[in-house]
Amino acid sequence: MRITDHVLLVEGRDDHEVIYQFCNYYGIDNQSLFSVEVGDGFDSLLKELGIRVRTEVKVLGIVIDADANLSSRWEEIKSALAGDGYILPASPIKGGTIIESPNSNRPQIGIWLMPDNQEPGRNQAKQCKFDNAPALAKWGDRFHSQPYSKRGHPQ
Amino acid sequence: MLNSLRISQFRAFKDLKIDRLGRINLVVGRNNLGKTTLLEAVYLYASDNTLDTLNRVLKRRQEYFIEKGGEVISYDNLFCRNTEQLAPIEIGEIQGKNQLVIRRMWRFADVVEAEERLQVRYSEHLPDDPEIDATEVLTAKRGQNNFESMSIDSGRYSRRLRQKQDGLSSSLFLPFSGFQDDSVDPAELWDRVAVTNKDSDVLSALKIIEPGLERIIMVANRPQRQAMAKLPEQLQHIPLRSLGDGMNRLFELALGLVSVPEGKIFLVDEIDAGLHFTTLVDVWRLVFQAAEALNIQVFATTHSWDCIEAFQQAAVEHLAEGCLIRLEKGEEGIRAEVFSEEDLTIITRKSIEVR
Repeated sequence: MRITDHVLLVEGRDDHEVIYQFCNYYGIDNQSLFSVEVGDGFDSLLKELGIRVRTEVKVLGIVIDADANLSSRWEEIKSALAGDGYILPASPIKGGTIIESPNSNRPQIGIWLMPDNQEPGRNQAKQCKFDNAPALAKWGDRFHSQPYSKRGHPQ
Repeated sequence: MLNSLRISQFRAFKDLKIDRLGRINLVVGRNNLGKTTLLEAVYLYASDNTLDTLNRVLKRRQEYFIEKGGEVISYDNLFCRNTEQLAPIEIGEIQGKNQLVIRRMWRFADVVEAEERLQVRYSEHLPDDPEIDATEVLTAKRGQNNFESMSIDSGRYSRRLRQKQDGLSSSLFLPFSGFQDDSVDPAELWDRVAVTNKDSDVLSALKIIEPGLERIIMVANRPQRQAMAKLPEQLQHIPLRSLGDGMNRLFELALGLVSVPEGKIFLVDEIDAGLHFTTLVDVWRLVFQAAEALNIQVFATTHSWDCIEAFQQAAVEHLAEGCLIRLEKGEEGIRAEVFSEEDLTIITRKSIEVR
């Protein structure tokens, strides 16, 4: 059965691939933990986000590319979620941002801006470079009550 | 047309608020969250004879017991269970003026000594004087002009209307199992429809399933009259029912749409019951067209994803606004989330689970 209460939203097919490789690397059985939903790019993902928070999802993760301008991306996410009562920090948190739900009817939200929440850029799906994988795994664990990753985190 | 809805203390709804409604509203949600209850609440609100309608609703729910050879309706589950006090049921628009208020009260006659006459009084408490005979009643009040009361013991029903009502009852409720289940005879609806020449609209609606259908007539088949259909390949009329559940459902749906008076509400429980998924877009087109043309508002429920997709498809083709209302369990009881047509486009494209 498809999991509907834990959802990870990614921007496009490439990002989807990254998540699968990441899960493989860390031995995360993602299919039993969360479903990955692939968007049609950033703008459409923002619209989808506004709907997803109003469904029965309890934990909602978002992995997107920072692209050229990280802060403008962040501002757009901020305003997309403001209407539902979410308060985001002024800039993304280095180890991944986690926002508590504003009320019991809205999910907890985690946001990861590729590559590392600090620098502009995109994921490196094709090269399979996981420079930031440990940090991403930690974010995933903090975000979920039960640790996703079995390999533990390199210090 | 209702633009928003608030239902307090009615059955499972402690305080349900829906801040936006469309002309066509599709209600979804898991089992036992109150989709049918929502329709019933709107039905009571939109009904001219609230308490009479209430009795029909409870009878359909089989909330009655047999005593001394008669049916006694039980009102025990009518009021929301999770409150200490028996607060009144309130149904209406959010911040609207014409709220329907249903109360459980005592009715008794009070002596007005100065004038030497008896005055009927209603109170939430029994009279202080134990000699005074009091009857437990349900009262329904709407605005300043409309008051009904009904004895709980006998189900005897009395009305006091200060406003003149138009003759025939107004809004219609089509239950899962058909009009008969709400004590509405489809044959009677048909008669009213036929004299206004709207029977041709019903016939063209039925062509969604059976394009060759030529005619519908009603024939006596005691104790009721039965709809008969004429198909080109058959010499004689055959019972409409023999053309399948879907045909019968579509017949009642179309009949209801053209029977509801202008400005009133049509409620349909499990709109896609018996209908094949390939017909659903056309069925919704029919609903949108009729609601637009005849100026009526529609509330329907479903469990099916196909039905939601078809609803979305028809909604974008029509001017009339469609809203998807999702009921869910919140911390404070059952709550509603409303999705617009624009939301629906994304929901169906991305297969976002909303049922």
